[in-house]
Amino acid sequence: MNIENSKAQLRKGILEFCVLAILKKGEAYPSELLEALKGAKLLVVEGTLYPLLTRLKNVGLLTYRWEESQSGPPRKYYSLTEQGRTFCGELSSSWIELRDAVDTIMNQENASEIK
Amino acid sequence: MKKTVQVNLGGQAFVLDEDAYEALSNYLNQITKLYNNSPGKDEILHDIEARIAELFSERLGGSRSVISMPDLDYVIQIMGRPEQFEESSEEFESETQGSSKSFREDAKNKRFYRDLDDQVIGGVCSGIAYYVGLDPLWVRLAFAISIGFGGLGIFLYIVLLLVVPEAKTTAEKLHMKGQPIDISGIGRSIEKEISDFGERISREGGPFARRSGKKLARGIDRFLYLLADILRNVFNAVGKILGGVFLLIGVFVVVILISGLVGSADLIHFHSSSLDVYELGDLVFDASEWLMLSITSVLLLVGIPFIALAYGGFALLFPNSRVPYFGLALFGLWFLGIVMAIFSGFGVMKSFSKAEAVIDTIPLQSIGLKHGSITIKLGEDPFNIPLKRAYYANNDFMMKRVGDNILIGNVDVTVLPSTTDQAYMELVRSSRGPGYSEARENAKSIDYLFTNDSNSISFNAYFSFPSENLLRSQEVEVKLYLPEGASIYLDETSKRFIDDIPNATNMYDPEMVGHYWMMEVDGLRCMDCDSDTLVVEEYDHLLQPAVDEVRHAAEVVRREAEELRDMAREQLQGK
Repeated sequence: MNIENSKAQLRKGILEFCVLAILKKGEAYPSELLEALKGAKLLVVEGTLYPLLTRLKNVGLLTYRWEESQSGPPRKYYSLTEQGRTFCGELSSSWIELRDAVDTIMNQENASEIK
Repeated sequence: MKKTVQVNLGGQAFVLDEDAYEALSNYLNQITKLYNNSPGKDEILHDIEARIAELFSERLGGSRSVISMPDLDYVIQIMGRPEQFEESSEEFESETQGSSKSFREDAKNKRFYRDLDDQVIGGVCSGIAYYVGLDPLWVRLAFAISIGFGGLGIFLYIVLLLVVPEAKTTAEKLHMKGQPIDISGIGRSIEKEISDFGERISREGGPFARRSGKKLARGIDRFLYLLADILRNVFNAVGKILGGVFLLIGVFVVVILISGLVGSADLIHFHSSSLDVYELGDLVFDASEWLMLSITSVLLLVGIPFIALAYGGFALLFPNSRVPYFGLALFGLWFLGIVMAIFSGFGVMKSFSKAEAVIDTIPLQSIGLKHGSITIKLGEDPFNIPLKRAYYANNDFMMKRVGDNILIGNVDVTVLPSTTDQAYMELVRSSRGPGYSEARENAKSIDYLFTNDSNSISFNAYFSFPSENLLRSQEVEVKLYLPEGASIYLDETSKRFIDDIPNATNMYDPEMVGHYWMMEVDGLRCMDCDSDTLVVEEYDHLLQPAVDEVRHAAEVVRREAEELRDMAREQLQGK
C-alpha cells in the first residue's frame, strides 16, 4: 500500500469540507482559498481546486460573483449558498464526531501502550 | 535568440518564448483531455487559465516581459501535473456518472480486437464484450439469438472474424482491455460531437432530461465507437485486398506489354497466320521511325495507367511507401504518350489520305439464257477457313506474307441485275495512298484471280500485292451482273466471299447458298427454296395491325396537341 496514496485519499475527503469551511467565514477568490489550504498543507497541487469549485457550484452549494481587480483580469469571488451553509453545518458536526472517534481510538491505543 | 509567441490567457496578454509556448499548450491540452467529459469543462479550464495568468504576472513582476521555460516549470509545479489531479477528477466522475468509471474514458483507450484467450469460435464475442464492458456471456447470447433472425448473426460474425484483428501481442491485449493509446481522429471528433450534444441536452433540460440526455449520449457514443472501429477495420481490410488486386493486375499487364515489346510475341493473331506487331507496323508505316513512335505511344498510353494502378495498389498495401512525384512523373509520361500518338496518327493518316479504284469490266459470254445455271464457287483459299465459319470469317481482316507478297483474305462478291442482256463482271480494285497517283498505282498492282469455264466460275478468296506497296486499305470487290432470266447456283463454298447480294426474297446471304437463283425484274429470286424459308414476306401481314395501331395513336396525339394549341391561342386572345 502506497503511503502517498493513502494520504491523498485522506486529504481528498476533507478538502471539500475545508473549502466550504473557509468560505463560511466569508467570500474568497481562488487564490485566497489556495493560500489558506496550502497554509494548512491540505493541498499539494492547485489544479485540484478548480474542478472541485466547479462541481460544488454545479450542485448548488457555492455561488460566485465577478469582481474587478486592480492587478489583472476580473476575479471570481466564491461564497456559500443557503444550501451550502446547511451542508457545511452538517459536515462540521459529523467532522467533530469523527475527530472525537479517531481521537478516542488513538488515545486508547496510547493508553494501552503506556500500560 | 528565440522566437516568441503572444498568447491570451484568462483575458491577459503574455509573451512566451517558443519552448514555453509549446510546453504550455501541451499542458493545457492534457488538462482539456482530462476534463473533456466533465460538465462545466470550459469553466474549469477558464479558471485554470486565469490562475496560470495570475502566477505568470507574479513571476514577471515588472522587470521582465517574456515567459520562458523556468517560469512555466514553476507554474506547473504549483498547479500540478494532470496526473496529480486526476484523483479528484475521478471522484468527480463517480459523483456525476454513477459508481462505474465513465465508458468514454475507457473507450478512448480501447480498441476492438478478437480475444483469443477467451474464445469459443474466433474470440469475436469476447472482444466485443471487452469493448463495451459486458460479460462475454451476454454478447454470446445476443449472437446466438440473432442467428435466429435469418442468420444475420452468422453473417456478422464472419465479417467481424475476417476484419477484426486478433490481440496477439501484450500491447494489443492491453489495448483491447483499455490501456492508453491514441485513437483515430474520427473517433475523437465523434466523441466531441456526442459530448457536446449530451452537454447541450443537460444544459437545456431538467434533471430528468439531464440524466437521460447523458445516458443517451453515452449509449450513442458507445455504439459509434464500435461502429467507427469496425468501419476502420473494414476499410483497412478492403483497402488491402483492393491494393493486392490492383498490384497484381498492374504488374501482370505491364509484364505482358514489356514481353510483347522485347520478345516478338505474336500479339496480333490472324486467321491461320500471324504477324508480330513489328511486321504489321512495317507494313503500315512508311518509315520505321514512325513505327517506333507509335508503338512507344501505345505502350505509354496503355502501360502507364496500369503502372499507376500497380503503384496505387502498392501504396494501399504499404501506406508509408509513397514515392514523391511518382504520380506526377507517370502523368507526364502519359501525356507524352498522347502527344506521340497524335503525332504518329497524323503521319499515318497522311499516307492513307487519298483513295483510288481501278475498275475492269470483263464480259462473260458463257452465262446467259441459253446456258442453264452457272455455279459460283470458291477457288483457292490460302487461309483454309472451314466452311461453317466462312461467312463470318470474311468480316475479319485476314493477312499473310508469302515471299515478297502480301495476301489479303477478304474478297467481296455480289450479284446485281445487268442493264444489258449480257452477263458481265466488274472487278473493282481499290487502294489508298498519300496522293491519287500513288493510290492508283497501289490499286493497279493488286493481283486477283478467278477461273471461268463453261458452267462455273471459281473466285479466289484472296488477292495479293507486293509487300513494298505497304498496307494501304487495299480492297477487291467483284460485281457480277446478270441479265434477266439468267440463273446461277450458289455453291456452299461461296459463303466465303458472297456479300450483301440483293434478292427479291430478302434472304440473308449465308442462307442463300445451296440454292438456284434466277435474275428477275425485281432482283434474284430463289428457284428451289422451301416455302418456310420465305416467311419473311408473311411477317408483313402480322406486323400490319401493330403498324396501324401506332399510326392511330400518333393521330390521336396530334389531334390532342392541336386542341391544346387552339385552347392556348383562345386564352391568349381572351387576355
